[in-house]
Amino acid sequence: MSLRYAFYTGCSAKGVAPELYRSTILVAEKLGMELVELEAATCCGAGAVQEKDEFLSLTINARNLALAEELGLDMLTICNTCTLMLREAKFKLDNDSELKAAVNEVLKEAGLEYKGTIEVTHFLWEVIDAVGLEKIKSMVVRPLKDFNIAPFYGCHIIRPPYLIGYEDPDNPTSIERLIEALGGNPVDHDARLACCGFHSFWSAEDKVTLRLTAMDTQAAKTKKADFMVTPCPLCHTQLDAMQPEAEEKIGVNIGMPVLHLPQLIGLAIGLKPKELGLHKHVVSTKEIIEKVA
Amino acid sequence: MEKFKLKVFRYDPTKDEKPYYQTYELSVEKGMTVLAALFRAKEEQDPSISFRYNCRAAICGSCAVRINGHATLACKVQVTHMLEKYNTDTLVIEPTGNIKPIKDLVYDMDWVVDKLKRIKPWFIPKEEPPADGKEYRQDPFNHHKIDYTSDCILCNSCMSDCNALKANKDFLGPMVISKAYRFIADSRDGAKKERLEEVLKDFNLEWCVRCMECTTRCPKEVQPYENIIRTRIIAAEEGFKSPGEIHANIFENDIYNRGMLNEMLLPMRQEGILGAAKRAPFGIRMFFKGKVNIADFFGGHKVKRHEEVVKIMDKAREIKDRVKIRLVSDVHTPYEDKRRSKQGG
Amino acid sequence: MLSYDVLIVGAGGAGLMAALEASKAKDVKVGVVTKVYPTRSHTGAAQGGINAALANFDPSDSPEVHTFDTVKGSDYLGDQDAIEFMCNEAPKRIYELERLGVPFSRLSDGRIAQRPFGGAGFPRTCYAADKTGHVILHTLYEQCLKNEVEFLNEWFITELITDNNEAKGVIGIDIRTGEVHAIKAKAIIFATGGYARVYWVRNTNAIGSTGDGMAIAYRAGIPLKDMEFVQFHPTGLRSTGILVTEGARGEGGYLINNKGERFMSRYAPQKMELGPRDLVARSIETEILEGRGWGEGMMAYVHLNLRHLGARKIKERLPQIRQLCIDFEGVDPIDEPIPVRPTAHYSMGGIDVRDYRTSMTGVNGVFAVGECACVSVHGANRLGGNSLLDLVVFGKPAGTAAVEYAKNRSSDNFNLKAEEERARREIEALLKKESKENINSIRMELAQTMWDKVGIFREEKPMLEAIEKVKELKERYKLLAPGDSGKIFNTALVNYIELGYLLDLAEAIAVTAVLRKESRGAHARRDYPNRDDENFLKHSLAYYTPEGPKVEYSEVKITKYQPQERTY
Repeated sequence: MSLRYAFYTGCSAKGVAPELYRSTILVAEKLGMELVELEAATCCGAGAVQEKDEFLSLTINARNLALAEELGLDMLTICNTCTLMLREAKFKLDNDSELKAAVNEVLKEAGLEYKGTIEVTHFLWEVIDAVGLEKIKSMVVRPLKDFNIAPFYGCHIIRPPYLIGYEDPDNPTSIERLIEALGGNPVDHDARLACCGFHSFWSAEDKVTLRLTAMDTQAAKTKKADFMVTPCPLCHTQLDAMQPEAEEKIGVNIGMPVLHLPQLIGLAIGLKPKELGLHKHVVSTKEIIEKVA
Repeated sequence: MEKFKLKVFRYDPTKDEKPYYQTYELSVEKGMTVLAALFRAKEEQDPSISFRYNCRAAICGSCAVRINGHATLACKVQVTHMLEKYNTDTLVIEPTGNIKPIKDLVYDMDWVVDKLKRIKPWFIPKEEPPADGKEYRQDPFNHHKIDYTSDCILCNSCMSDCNALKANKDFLGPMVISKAYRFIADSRDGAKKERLEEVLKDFNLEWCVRCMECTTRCPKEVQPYENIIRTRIIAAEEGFKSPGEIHANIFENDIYNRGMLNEMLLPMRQEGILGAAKRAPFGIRMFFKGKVNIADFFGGHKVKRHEEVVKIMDKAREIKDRVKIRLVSDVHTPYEDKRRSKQGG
Repeated sequence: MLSYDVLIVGAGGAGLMAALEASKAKDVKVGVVTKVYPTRSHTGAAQGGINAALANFDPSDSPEVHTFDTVKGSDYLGDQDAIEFMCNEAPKRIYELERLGVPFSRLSDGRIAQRPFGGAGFPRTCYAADKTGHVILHTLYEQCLKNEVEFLNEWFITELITDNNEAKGVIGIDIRTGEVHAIKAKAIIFATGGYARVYWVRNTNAIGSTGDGMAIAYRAGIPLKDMEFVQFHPTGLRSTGILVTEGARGEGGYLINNKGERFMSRYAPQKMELGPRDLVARSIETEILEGRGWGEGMMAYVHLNLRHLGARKIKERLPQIRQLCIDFEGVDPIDEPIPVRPTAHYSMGGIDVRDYRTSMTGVNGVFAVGECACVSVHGANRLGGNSLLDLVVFGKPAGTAAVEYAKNRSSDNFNLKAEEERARREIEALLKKESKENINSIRMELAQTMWDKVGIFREEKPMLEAIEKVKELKERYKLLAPGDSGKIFNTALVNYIELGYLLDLAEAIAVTAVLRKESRGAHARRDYPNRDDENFLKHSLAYYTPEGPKVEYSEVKITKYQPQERTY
């Protein structure tokens, strides 16, 4: 499998999660992945545009996909929701020729065409399938054996299977296998496949979102995890940056650090916590940094 | 013959202080569904296990339970498949989540029906019956909009695993909103506004966290999540204002004006100056962690080739009304990545 | 004590239709008592459709043609006045269902779509994809919610109480509390469904289709009509009896025995697997009986092979059948042949209805509708698409008639309380009783006896043996107890009582089948292969006695169509 990708950053990596962008670039380089950044790509709509104007959201993402097609490269994302939105658009266009024609009528205005020739994939999957866990293992210089790590998949990398389908949504193993390859101890916990609540933040911050954030981080804490790891920056923002609000909501101190997936790999293959941006997290990662030092 | 363990949640409120699990050892048999296994345990080992059943053909919706943590119809899954799926010799059978258990695997259905009644789950015709005494006409495209959603068997698998319901039992839940959509989207129905008002009370409709559990669980491919989104689209079209609708506008405007979302200005645009003030501690925290891009407060930069985006969005809005988007019919088959030989899972 | 003017027992299509109609009356208290939540009823499993001569697809169709098709389909055992009534009412009821919200599939001009079905002269079957019964059931339930119909959900009825040939009430168990109650009612409508569960795993029906209403009415002295007629379908899955539709054979699937032979070449060399249902069913059974199947006893089967069609065609053309096999049988037809055997599908017989316009039985105030009733409109064989129709056409006037009946009755002083006390003591004793038998072994022996001896092939001697065997099983049943003394959701108690119902019904089936010395419709006798209109153009009526059923006969109503030979 080629390790060259059209790199779709998404908004968060360019916004509130600069450490994700930075750590992805560093880790990808070390792993021999070539990321050609799609600087003309727009936001995927994040589900927000999708719930107001379906056709508009499809045209926007058809353009995003067409940009990758121009390069002839599969599109690599680092955000669960971006992955889902782009795959959803692709699925709908590839399965409905009339819709595809209508979308292409729109793209023609900008001299573009959506053909359906590339796939949308996520950093996690490529690390496992294209780079390979054996290679990763061989690159580990600082095994994470001192850490109990709680995987937090995030919804849109496992569900719904008709749009994702990478692994069994009820029993995924990819992050655990990666953690093991990096020498860490994966922790089974109740919130492994749960939702962080991010997408109902503006409508139900108190009623739903923060309650889930609290449950998730507490679930990891109950199982004595040293930190959580997630392949999604939206989950990360919710679980890390909003953790103080969640703590306030339930009146309990949780203090559960949350790492981005590339940061986890980076630590094990010898990148420095600082270059990986661990200091940029809201919940202190001090203990982790000290342990790996 | 190979054996497996059926570990069943047991609870009789007249006898037990708290729930416990009881394990039955059974032979693995080809063709045996989990429901058949429950019957086997009941008839050969312990007549006191209670569970609901009827059609054993995935149409009556009685037998939803959680198997190793995930809700499904006990009659629709094979023991062998489940053992393989979870790579185990033990199937843990629990009642549906989020709903109070009555005894063992039997849950409180009345709670669900009371929720359902809130959205008036019955057809309310828009027009007087046709003068010829015949049917209301409905073109096949309009019919297809309510086709999959009327497959719902009220089995509660989606309610069981809904993350929003887990956080807050006042959420209507995917099954109920999906049922509301079945009528809201019915071209013959006349109570669209009334139903939308009900699902939007307290913005209940928007409590959905988009975790996709409902669509993943649904044994009938009703697509509850998609129906929630479709309901939100109709609400926006009907002019209902809500945080979700404001949120969608912000995204739409940002894509139109610069391409990427401006996360820095989002809170102020979402909730106004006062609302944003409430977020000050969060903002300050983010600033000191180096997560704030100052340039974005002044609009930030545009993506490359941004002019294409403007052209495309203008054109999309122009032709939108004549594009008929058919609903996805198959949400059962997992996505197959053409490049990837399946290695995961 | 709970008290209703009209009490409906059962909440499938017929019960809900009656309830909906009855609930329109003012100052009449209507209740529906059902052992499962209404939407769990077996009506929901009806896939194909519902017949009505709307002439939407073909303008030449008419209720007259529908009537004739049904009379012929019934092998002339159906009552022609009732059939004519049903077929004339059919279009009105379909339009009514549509106006209640049923999402019927549509023609391009927006009218209700219709498709062809077996035994019908025109495409007459209205449908909603493959879930017609499901959407009708749910729509009726929704409308009942709208009309605030009172439901007693998850109540199990055990007895009908009559006095002086009049309905007085029923005895039931509230499954959720375990309490035994009498429910007083002036009019009682039974709508409890069929009895195919007599054959247990070899049937397409829901697990709860145990003929409750029939057995209850039978024990209370109301005769059961035409019980010998049970419809079989040629291909059901081995483990569950779930139907594998003709579609699989239509796409080129073929049947093979354990010798690897495509055996249909011996029975129907021209049409092979696409021969008539009854012929295919008999061929498969013959193979199994003569030792050319796999497995043993009730679990014996032959193979329905689709593998030669290839993965692509199976996925594209038969996705639902494939999924059904994977889910319910654990077999992917792409890799393995499907184990199949015939399966009991529908019971034509049921509670003897005396007047099709009201669905009243011989006991005043007791009505019966749907599969548990025998009007008779299906006679010796029901046509596809006529069962859902039966529910709505007869359910509605039964609701009206029950209201009228109840209005004309004043309260009386009948001592229902005493009956309640007695029943409560009986149930309490049952819960304490120790079991010396196993429920599953009695049930499976019953099923196997009925399947082997009063199933697809019938002959005097085996049927007489079956009657003896059922009597023996009834004795063993006396040693059985529920085995669970709990109050809440004691389904072991429910299953125990249901088995008692099945034993009584099995006896009625076997006895009427022995006495009907002819072959007609679904009743196929090896020793009497022909129809005998001279002696058997009549309905059987089985009356309960402690020693076994006493059988009488009643006249078949013939109006326009004299019996002819039935060929297609």
